[in-house]
Amino acid sequence: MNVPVATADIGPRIGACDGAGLRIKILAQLRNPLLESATFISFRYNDFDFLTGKVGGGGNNALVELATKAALNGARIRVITRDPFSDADGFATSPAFKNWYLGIGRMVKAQIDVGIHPTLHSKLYLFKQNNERRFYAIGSSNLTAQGLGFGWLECNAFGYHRSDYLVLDQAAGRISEDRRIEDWSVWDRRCKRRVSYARLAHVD
Amino acid sequence: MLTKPFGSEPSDISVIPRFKVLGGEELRSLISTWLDRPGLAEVFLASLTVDASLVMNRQDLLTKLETRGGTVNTTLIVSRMGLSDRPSSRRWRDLAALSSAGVRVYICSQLHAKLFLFKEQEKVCWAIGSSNLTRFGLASNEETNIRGFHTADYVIFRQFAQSLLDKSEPLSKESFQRSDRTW
Repeated sequence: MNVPVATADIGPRIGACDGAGLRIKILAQLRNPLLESATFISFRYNDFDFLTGKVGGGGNNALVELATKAALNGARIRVITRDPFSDADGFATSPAFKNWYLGIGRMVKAQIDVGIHPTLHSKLYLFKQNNERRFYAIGSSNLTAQGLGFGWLECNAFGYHRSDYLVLDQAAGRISEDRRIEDWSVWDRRCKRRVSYARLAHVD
Repeated sequence: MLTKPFGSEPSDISVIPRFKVLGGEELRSLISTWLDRPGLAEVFLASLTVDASLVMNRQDLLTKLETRGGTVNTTLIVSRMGLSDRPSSRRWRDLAALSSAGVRVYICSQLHAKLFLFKEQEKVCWAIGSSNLTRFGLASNEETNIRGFHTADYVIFRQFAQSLLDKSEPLSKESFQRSDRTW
């Protein structure tokens, strides 16, 4: 849509969507063969099916599978998420932890860049396609089934405008340069013993 | 609910960013500043939970909202998830105090949204992101929020706020009683 200069700033340039709306958009971005890069900055993530909301079942529409395929297709993907051991919400001792841990392991194998942040609570999603189209979303939705329409009432802002995208890309850059972020391999080595205990607590 | 953004083509020629990114501390400062503005007409706050003792510019949030609650159309939605099952708990008492002071307090069972709207006669401000109205959300966590002053964007979020209100129920004696039964 071409907008004359004088009127370009008059209409809304930002959309609002709930978790379900954001899920549809993220799914479309991940499936796009032109995807060049994607950034997921989220307090929590879980490997859930985008169509059914089922967590941990795998399948073609599961988050990790979609991200892995996109990475294998050449997209540069980075994920920054919160260290479960730095949070007092009990996640690290819940059955969901195993799903979290195994999912990240699969992503790392697919060359997805994973960082673990000690105090992260942001939820920010950025996608860039190689035809220069961009998409951003920011708000309250975690990268989880609950956050993306299968549970909680969320509010997110999204848009496609280049200059708005750049502002958020810079914010994502600031977060990813945080010295407290540990690369997955470093975190995994450091927390090896705690991870073993957490996983043993919930053997299938 | 889904509202379609305008200007979604890459050929869109406006280059000025429509919003600014704020961390938790900056959001606290923004909310505090707007709550102090004399011309404020309408406030909408949605947060998983509210820490009423949160200090905002030398005054805690509860006092600030109590002060403005009577004269400004103030709406606060919090999540049932963020409330204890004991009606005597501090969070419930804070909500009751706010309600008595004229703040329209709503409870929403599955609310996780964080949305803050301010309106004056001529100006508006919206903010959205990951920060709850708590010490963690406005101080210690790594949070990412955005804020803007454009009326057209405000309208989008005001409509969204209404959809949240439609799924909420006003704080009432029944809210406490229901909570009491589940305790």
